[in-house]
Amino acid sequence: MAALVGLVSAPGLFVVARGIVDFSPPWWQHLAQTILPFYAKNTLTVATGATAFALLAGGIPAWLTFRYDYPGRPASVFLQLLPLTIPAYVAAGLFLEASASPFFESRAALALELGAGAAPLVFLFLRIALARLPAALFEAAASLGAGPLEQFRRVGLPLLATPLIAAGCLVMAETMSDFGTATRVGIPTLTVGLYQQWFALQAPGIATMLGLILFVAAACCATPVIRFGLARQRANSAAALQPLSPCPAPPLGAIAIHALCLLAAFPGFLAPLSLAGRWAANNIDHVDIRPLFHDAGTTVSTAVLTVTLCLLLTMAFAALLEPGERASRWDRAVWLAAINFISPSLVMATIWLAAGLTGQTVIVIATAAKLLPLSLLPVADAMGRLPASLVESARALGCTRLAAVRRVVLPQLFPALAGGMLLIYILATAELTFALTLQSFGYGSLALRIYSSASLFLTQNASVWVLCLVLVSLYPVWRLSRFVDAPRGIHALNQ
Amino acid sequence: MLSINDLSAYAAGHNLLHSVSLELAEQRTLALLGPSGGGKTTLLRMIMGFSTPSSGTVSWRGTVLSAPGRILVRPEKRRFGMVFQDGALFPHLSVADNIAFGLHSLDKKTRRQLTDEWLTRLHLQRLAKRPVQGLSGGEQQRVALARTMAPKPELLLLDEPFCNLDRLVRCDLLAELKNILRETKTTTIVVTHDARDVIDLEATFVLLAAGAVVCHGSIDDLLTKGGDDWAGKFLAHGLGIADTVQPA
Repeated sequence: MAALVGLVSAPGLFVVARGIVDFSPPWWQHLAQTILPFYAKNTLTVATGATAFALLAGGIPAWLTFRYDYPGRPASVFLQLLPLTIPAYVAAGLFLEASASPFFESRAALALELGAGAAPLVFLFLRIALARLPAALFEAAASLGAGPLEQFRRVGLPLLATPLIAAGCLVMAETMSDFGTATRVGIPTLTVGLYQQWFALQAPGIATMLGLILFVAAACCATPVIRFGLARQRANSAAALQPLSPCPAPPLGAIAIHALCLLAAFPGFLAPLSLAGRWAANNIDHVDIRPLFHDAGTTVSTAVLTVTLCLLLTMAFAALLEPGERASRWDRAVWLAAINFISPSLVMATIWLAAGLTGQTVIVIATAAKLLPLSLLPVADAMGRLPASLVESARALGCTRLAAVRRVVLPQLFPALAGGMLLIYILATAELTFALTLQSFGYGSLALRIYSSASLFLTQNASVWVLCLVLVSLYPVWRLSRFVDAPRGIHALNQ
Repeated sequence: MLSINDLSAYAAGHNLLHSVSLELAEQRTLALLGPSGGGKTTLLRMIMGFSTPSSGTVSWRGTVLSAPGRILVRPEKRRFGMVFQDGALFPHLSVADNIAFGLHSLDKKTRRQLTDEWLTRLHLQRLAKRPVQGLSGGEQQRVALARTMAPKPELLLLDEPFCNLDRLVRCDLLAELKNILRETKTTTIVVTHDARDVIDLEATFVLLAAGAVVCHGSIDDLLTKGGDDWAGKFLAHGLGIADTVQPA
């Protein structure tokens, strides 16, 4: 447990401690007078734009695909999650080389690409939150004369306010911590500045200060997410109500919903995929298959190891939790782990760099520390929603504590655990920052190859790597979409 | 008058309701009685328009509201009110705001007046500004009742409103409900599995089991005729007079 707590809290503690140790007023003054305002302005503008786009492109389809049933609904849910397979830095590189338009070097383009990449997270977040809205509330509103729009405005929206704010903060922090896409588009943000200070200018002191600023901003963004989690735990007692079931959409409505689902899927998946597909078809004869297999193998093995580590830690954590409303101190403390997911990878990487540690094992541990909240939080939430009487009745029927956990708790936790693991695998395959900063000699991954080709404006040469990156995460994305959309899956995620 | 004609419902191969027909005159109270899984709540949800019948119709004052596979009048247009088993209070609103929810189309002054009136009527004034989450079960059901009655529904539907309450609270609430129904003369259907509610509310009853009507009428009729069948025994047990009812 100490290792788990250490893994969860170390990055933040380290950054804060290092920031205090390296604190130097003249440097702060220098930063404030030179690059900081410029970096901060770029970061805030891009993060705000990306958040607004992600909330629209992820939020509207989340409501529509949840509330309405229509032919092809599973396809639109799948489409909505597909941008997870093409990271924003890949899309940015493809667009830059495909078009000479100055738009693709602007802050607007960066915001659009980051927003499209983050929209699936908003979609997932809101779909889970929506599944927690009891149908009885909407039925009560209808019985009091409220029509569908009024039900949404007066019941749905106020109840979704907290998850909406939390999702917005999540995207805000994600986009603020982006490094790969900003570098590709050529917009100097705080993370780009941090990277330059640390690696190019060899000024770790200034880099640490930039890291501290980024970390504090991320921690501020994490607060609403943590509050959302704790509020949900407090509201557990009323969670036994049936969720809303979808109502049929008219044919024109179905077409409109499909079209709205393209808001994020087109810039985030379809357009970059078609570019990569076209270039790959032209280059397929010149592709050296050995490095491709090597990179794909490393990517998958790193992702699988990350998932395994997260699974083990989550199971260890679950064994310590008490089911039901009686939230233990661990149960509440785990929400602090949300800071890890939100913290910029580059800032977290500096911890390992400072210790002189690199290599695949370090990449796996660093990625697991960052992505662990994605499995910890749903499991903690599911434990909170599990009636304590279930375990008690199993014990009364002769089960030992361990047997009760195995036979009663684990089957109930499975959907939350599986959903979290799928998401961790998908994000781990696309992970770039840790691979870039913590790689050892000979380490190669699909993301690294694409990024290094894009740095030389040769993404065309890596187009087969792009397709391979899509391929290795396509099935998990499809499984995740089935989890989200299937009544059993979403209800189970909602336990 | 509420007319339910040959209503059936199937879901996942199960017969939830089988050819249920009944009529309810205005200003009368009807209790839907029966064991768990008998189809009481399914029937109530069909009357409200939350579920679609597989066959048969639901009509109110001569207008067909639901037909096979179709909701002809949407729930929010029916002017019916429903009290849910768990209250279904809006967690983001205070007690007063919950009660005012259905009065949205009225001007602010009238809305305020009606809200205050119902707060007073159900002894909820001191809780008006409180969030609904901290309320006791009895208080929650009072708020739910006030919220439903405030828009003056033409038909009041109550889905086991007393099932999670202790005996004392239940008696209080039942007395309140009886007074309200007497004063407002609202046509009412109450789902319950407690036969004592039928007597307390001076209602007629329909006994549903396995989705079909077993018998209907008044408790007095049934007890006078005797209880040699399952229905008689069910009601006699519910009333706690099983030993005194003799086979005919």
